[in-house]
Amino acid sequence: MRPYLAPIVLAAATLPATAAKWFEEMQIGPAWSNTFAGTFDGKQKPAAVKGVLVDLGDGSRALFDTETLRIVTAYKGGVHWGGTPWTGAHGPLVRVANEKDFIFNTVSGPGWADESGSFDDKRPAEFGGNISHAQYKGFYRHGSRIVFDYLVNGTRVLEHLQAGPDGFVRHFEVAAHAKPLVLLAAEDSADFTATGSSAKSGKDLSVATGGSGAVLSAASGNATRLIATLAPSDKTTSFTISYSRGGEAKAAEPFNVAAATKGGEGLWKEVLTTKGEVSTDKKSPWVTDTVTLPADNPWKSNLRFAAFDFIDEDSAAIATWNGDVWIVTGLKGDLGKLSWKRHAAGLFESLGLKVVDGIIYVQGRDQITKLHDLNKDGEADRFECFFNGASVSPNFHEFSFDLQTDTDGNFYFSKGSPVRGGGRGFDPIYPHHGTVIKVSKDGSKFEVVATGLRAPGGLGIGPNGEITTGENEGTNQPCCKINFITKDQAPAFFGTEASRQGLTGAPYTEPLCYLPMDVDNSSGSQVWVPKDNTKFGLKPGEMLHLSYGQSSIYRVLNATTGDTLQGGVVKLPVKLGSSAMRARFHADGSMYVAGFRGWQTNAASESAFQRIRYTGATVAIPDKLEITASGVRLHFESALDEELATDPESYSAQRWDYVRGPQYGSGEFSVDNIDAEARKQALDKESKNYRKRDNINIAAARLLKDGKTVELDLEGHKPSMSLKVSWDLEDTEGEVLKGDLHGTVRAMGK
Amino acid sequence: MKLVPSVLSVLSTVLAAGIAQADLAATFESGGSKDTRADRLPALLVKAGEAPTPFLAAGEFGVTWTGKLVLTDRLRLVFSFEGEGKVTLTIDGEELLTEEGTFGTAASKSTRLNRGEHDISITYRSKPDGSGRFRLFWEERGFPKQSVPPTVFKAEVTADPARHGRLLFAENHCSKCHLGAGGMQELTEYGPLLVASGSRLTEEWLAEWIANPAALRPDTRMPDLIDESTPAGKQQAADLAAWLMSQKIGEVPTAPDKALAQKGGEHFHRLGCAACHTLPGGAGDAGRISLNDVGFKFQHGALAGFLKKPDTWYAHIGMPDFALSDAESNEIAAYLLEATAHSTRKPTDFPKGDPAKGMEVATALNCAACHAGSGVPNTALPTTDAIFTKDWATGGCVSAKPGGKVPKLALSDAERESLIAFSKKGSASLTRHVEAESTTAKLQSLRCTSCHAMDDTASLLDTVHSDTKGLIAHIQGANEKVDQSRPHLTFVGEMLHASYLENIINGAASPRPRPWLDMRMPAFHSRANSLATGLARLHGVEPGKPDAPAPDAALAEIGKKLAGTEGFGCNTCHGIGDVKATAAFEVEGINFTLAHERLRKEWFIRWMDNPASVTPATKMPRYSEDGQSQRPELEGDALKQFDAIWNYLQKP
Repeated sequence: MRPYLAPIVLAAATLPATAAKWFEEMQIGPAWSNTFAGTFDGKQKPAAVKGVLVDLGDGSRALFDTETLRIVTAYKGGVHWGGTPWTGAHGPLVRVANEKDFIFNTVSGPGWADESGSFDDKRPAEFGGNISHAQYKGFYRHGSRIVFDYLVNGTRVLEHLQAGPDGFVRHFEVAAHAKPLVLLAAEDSADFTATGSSAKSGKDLSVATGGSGAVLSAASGNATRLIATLAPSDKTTSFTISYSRGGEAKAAEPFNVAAATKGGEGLWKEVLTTKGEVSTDKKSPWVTDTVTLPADNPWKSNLRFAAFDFIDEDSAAIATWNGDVWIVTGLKGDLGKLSWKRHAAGLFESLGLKVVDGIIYVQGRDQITKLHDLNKDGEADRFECFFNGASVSPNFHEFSFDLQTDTDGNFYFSKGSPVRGGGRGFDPIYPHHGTVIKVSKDGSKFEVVATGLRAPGGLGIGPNGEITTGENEGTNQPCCKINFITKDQAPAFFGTEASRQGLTGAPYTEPLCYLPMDVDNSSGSQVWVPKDNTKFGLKPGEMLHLSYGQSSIYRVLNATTGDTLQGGVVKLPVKLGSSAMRARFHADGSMYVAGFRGWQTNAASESAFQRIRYTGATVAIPDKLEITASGVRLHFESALDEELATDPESYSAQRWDYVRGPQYGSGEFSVDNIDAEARKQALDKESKNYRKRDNINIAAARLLKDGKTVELDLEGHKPSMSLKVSWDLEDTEGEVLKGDLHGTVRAMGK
Repeated sequence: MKLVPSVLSVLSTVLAAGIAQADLAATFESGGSKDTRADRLPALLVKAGEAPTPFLAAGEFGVTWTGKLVLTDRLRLVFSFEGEGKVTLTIDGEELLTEEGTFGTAASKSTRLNRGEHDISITYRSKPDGSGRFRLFWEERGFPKQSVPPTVFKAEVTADPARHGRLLFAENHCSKCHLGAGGMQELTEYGPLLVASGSRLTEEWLAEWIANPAALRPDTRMPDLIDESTPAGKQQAADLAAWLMSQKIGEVPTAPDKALAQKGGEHFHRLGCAACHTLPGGAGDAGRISLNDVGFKFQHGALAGFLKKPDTWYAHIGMPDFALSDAESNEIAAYLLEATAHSTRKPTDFPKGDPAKGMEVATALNCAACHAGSGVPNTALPTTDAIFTKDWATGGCVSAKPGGKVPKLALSDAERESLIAFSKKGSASLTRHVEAESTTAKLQSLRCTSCHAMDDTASLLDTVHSDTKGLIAHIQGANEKVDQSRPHLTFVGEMLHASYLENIINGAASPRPRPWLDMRMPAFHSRANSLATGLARLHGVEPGKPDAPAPDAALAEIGKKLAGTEGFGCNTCHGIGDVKATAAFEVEGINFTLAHERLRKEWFIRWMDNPASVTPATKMPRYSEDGQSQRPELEGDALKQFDAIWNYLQKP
């Protein structure tokens, strides 16, 4: 095994001396994207919110900040573990162990000067963000070598980092440029003295250049900063900068960086096989087949699959929360032989994935990465930065969820708000916290189409550009809910006041429906039945909502009346092996579901990837909901037993409201007897122990002429944030139909 | 004079109002007598020789619970029993199940009951020796066999005022002067010891208090024994105060540093003091105790000592022991004194007192009857039996116009009515202690539901805690912590082993089960044992302790897998010994190593099957649906899997 493939050994003293944790054993590969903290001048602080930690193979590492194109630290050592997807801790970041054995650190600001030669950091001090003259384009992987690709003042730069017996070396290849370029070579706590080709600080940091074109000098006015200046050149410049702390840096010959951008030897060569499990159940309307995961993989990768898409009918790309992308093949037919290839690793919390024209796009917290397999060996060797325009903060809860496209090819993803450790309140809000972002098909433009989200675990894009998201209870969010807007309603504000962003004064956009905790306590994606899908047992164009927390899939019954959005959900009778995080329809008409466990859920296992098939059996859940003047009308797919259907005792109903306010979640409040004082108190103090649902008398139950529609008169019928209707019926064949509808009522129809 | 716990007044308020929560009417019969009370649930545990209720003698008895069973959905229910004796369950006029002997061998047929109210009647007969135990269970396709929760019962029960009167008799310490009653546990509760008064209280407050206790605390049980409208009366109060000030033990520490007040205010909010007290310096309200006179009453240096150990001189005080550190007590004392500096009462004029005369007055007024060690008690007053031969309405302490030297009790008209009704029942009930019934009263009088939700009622603190939120307003992100909900009490007697419950109530549970809470369960030392056993008995559960762990190794192994990352991932939120929860967020779960000593298995199964049915707003996920789990172990049978986890939890 090559040294750079070794797992990251923990820097001492952060964990008790017990057996290695899984994250210590997992092989991430030579480049790991994440938000990293570090130690600078003895103080711990965020080092790079969009960082790439490069494993240099001899136990040393360098952290590259993709916002500033700057080497933040080059050091010998591992990391102090943190980060929710790794240790589970809700708060501390992964921290590079650069506190002692560092070659050099740079503290902040651009890694390259702008056209005027200035290194001034013109970004808002509180948010940081990308730098306009420095555009990160991603990196290439050549075997274990990493080559960063970026533009400085419009000039393409390739940079490769290397460590060896002679110290730490940066290899550059800079395209022709008409104006001088200046890069920050190093910083130290004492002044540098430079000779042009070499330099030394008062603290024994020795620097030397190799190749041609780079001239070292101490920065004017601040000799603790060492800069390298490249004169204008009409041809490609190749040069190196070498570093040695305590020794003498030796000028290194430039490595052929461009040659390393064509793909190289794979890292995860073994293809793993598993055998799927196909359900033999013929009675249930939907059955679940399991795409067995290669849990015991040689790289100890923690396979918590969080997003996927089909590449073709037989294969899918599927991403893990810990940054892997795998390609599974063998999906056609009986799943008898499934091949698993680790395609990429080291991505940043990849919770969204979309395949467009055969290319895999992965939504991470830092960027949308476009994966290319240049040499067709099954492993990604170009990690192209497709879009990194969204701000990222150091908050642990700033999850970035899902990746979907509309019919025009635009991409959509959602970002959480920076919830604090206990779940209450927020860290400082950055520009894109709590939003849905729409990115143009080519990645060049983006816009915010929704704000005010707290923890939207997934989203969906409808056939007509409808934008939907889930949401979790918390500050300003009384419970889970399904946000739903048409494309012309964007941008919309979904309730979290702290992350209103620019939508000052915008009204709160009410959801399609609110969902109590036992229906959904943490949302996943929404998915729409394709227009040409007649095989899944649902209607083409229907919407489904996934509950990550309840590991359930719900059929969404849109009961919009006039212009008033409203509706409800009924549960699809399927059992899943893990949570319900993402789902997509396969060309064969089935639906695949990927789920994992990363935060609270009743998921039965850490992860599962499953296929849900419709067997043709009777569907026992209603397919249509209408809110009438006196109650609800529910349409079932089979003829109902008249005696039971017309007996009000076969039904029960409850209604209640929530209080949406600054407190975490909400109690349940009577609608029939409004307790104004209790509602007022709920704005002041968490109210979840207050539970006063109204039990509704079913005044009448009628079975309509079609024999499949029941019409219920609900006493005191009125708008309520929650309406629960339960039924206990039989069809004409004697099959029991039992279930619940949970919805929201705003407007009465006919 | 005695510092009467405020809690007793709450009891009066609640009982006088005849408040009955989710109740059944329980009509007991024994030896030809009848007694009806409201029961939260149909359950009992009576040992041979014990009275079934305070108003019935020990011996063979029967009870019929009647009321409504209220269902929000149609259920197909199978009922069964636990206990001994003979019992018949009737619903909507149909006899569903009868058992005799040791219950539990039979179950009712599956009975479809529609949404709505159903007449329910349970007729129980004890064993001939007067012992009996009963619990009612049900099961349905949607849930496993479990005790029928109290929240589904409803009945209109007219409270017999005598029951309240009996408690008032004890609460007013009547039997301390009128000797002869004994057996009822509450009669053993005494007023505070006065031997350290001079090291704790102020002379001005004492004089004022003795002169007219109800003026300082309208709900007090300290009788008014002095006519302070006369100079002689005023002098008596002053003499008593002077005598009490001569009763000293130890030095009074220096008053707390005012600079600590802000910190003390934070504790006051975080510990949830607002559950029992109004905001210091603010307006009072009827249900909670104002602290505005605290700086008038206490010598400023002594307040911290009282807060640290409230029951030192008064074992039955209502104020529990929060196990405050020295720093915390000092800080809270500093806060209370500072916050009430401008609202505290100003002393009125009393003549200078004479300690020697005060001691004589104490003997004359029989203070020692309630305050042990305060002179020689007067044993010449009419006995308990003697006063029960009199008409309380027309004369004596209870009557509205006691006159003469008869102590004036601060009684409301309703309380007088209750006491008079009680007097007509005779004194026999004072010889009986019925633990379950006594516990029901204490749940109110000790204000348990001020902090804990019970049945479908949120705690008082949920409503009033925001009164004190200003005390932490200066702390950035003060509320940004994991969920701070306190446990519900609905099932507490069948949830926890009585042994553990006793530890909790006694402040002896270590480690704390919920260390993430800002609040902490305060100790009610003198009541811990009886409350713990009483809560178990309320649910018909034999008070007990866990058996030695004896897990089935194979099942425990499966349980370990199910609880671990490979299974349901319980360790995400629950720590196991020193190993912390892997990813607790927003809420935290109780450490698994405490499960065995805390939990009864029956409750554990109920909780695992449907956590929200126990604690409606819980974040604990549900892992079963119609008895099936999503995991394959043990044929996917959720109950078998929960049993395996239970085995694992015996020695995690």
